[in-house]
Amino acid sequence: MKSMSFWERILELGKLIFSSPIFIGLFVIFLLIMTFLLLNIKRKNKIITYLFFGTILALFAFVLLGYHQSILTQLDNLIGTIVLNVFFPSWIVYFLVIVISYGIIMKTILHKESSKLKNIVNIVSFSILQFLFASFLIVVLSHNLDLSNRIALYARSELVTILQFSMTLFLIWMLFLAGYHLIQKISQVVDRSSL
Amino acid sequence: MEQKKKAKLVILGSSLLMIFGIVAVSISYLKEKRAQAFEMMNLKILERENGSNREEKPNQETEEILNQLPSVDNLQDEQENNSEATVSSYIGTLEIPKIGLTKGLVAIDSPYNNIEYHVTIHASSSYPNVEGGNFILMAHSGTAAISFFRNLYQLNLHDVAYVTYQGIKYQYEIVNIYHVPKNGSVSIKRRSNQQTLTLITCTYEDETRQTVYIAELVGKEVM
Repeated sequence: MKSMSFWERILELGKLIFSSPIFIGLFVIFLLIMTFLLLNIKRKNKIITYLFFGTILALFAFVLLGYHQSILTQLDNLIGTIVLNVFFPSWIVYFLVIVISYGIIMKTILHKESSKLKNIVNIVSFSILQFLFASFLIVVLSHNLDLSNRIALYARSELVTILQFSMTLFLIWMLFLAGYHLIQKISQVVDRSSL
Repeated sequence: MEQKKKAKLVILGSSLLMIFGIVAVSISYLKEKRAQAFEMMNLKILERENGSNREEKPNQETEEILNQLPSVDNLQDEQENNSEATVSSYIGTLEIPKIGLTKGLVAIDSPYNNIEYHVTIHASSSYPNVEGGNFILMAHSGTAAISFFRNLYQLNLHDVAYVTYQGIKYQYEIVNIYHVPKNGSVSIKRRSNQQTLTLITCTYEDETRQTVYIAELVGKEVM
C-alpha cells in the first residue's frame, strides 16, 4: 500500500463515487441535502428540516433492509471487541479510563453542589483506581514489559487481576453515575410537567 | 406533592424494569462474548508460549475407558455455577475447520481440564507427540454454552482435524465413526500402531448413546 498524495486520494474517491449507481445516487442525495440545508439557513423553513430528517431516516432504513445481515455481523463484532476491551483492555483503553476518572474527580472537587452520595462514590472509586494504576505501572516497569504487547501483559496473572479489577470497578462506577443522572433527569422532567 | 412523588416512582420503576429486562435478555449473549474473549486471549497466549517443554505422559493404550458424560439436560443448572471464565494456560489447540471449531486445551492435570470448562483431555490419554499414542478428547454436545462438540455430528469420514501441541501442528483424518451405548464405558477401536485422535461426545439427538470419532495422524508441521 503506497502513500497517496492529496489529489490522488480525490481521484480515488471520484472513481469510487462513479463506480456504481448506488454510490452515484448516494452522492446526489447528500449533495441535494447539503444544498437545501444551506439555502434553508436564512429561510428556516420547517418543511425542509422535516424533509432532511425524513431523508436520513429513509436512507438508514434502506441500508438496514438491504444489508441487515452484514450490519448484524458487524454489530456482533463490535460488541465482541467492546467485551474484549472490558476484560482485556489495551493500554490505550486503560489509559483512557484513568484520564476519564481524573476528569470526573476534578469535576467532583470543583463542583460544590453535587450530592454527598455521588461525591463519596466518586472519591472512593477514583482512589481505588489510582492505587491499581500505580500497582500496574510498578509491575510493568519492574518487569520491563512492552505496554504495546497486549499478550505479554496478559500472560502475567498479577496484571490480569489488576486490569480486570480496574475495568470492573470503572464499569460499576459508570453504571452508578448513569443511573444517578437518569434518576435526576426523570425527577426534573416530572417536576417541570407538574408546574 | 403526593402525586408528583407517585409519578416519579412510577417512571423510575418502569425505567428500572426496562433496564432489567434488557439485561436479562442480553446476559447469556454477553456471557458467550466474554467466554469468546477469554478463549481468544488464551489462544494468543498459547501461540506466544508455543515450543515450551512440557512433561510427556508415558505411552498408554487403552481399549476400555470408564467414562460417563453427563446428559445435556443436567447442564443448564451446572452452567450457571461453572460460567467462570479463566485466563488459564493452554497447552494446545483443537481445530476442526469443517465445523469452525477452534478450542484451547489445558493440561491433563489442570483443575480446568474438566468437561464443564473446556474440551477435556481424558485422564488415560497420551499427548499427541507420543508415537502410536491415542489423544482422547471429550466434550458435551447439545445447546449449552459449554457444548463445544455441538456440531461434531456434521463430521464424516475423511474430514480433517488439527491439534497443535508444543509448536507442532498434527493433522488427523477421520477413519471411523461409531456409536456406543451410554453405560459408563466407551470402547475405543483403533489400530494400535497408528497415532490417533479420538473425539467422544453424546450422540446428536440421542441421549442413550455416545459417538466416537477415530482419526489417524496423516501429517505434521512445525509451527
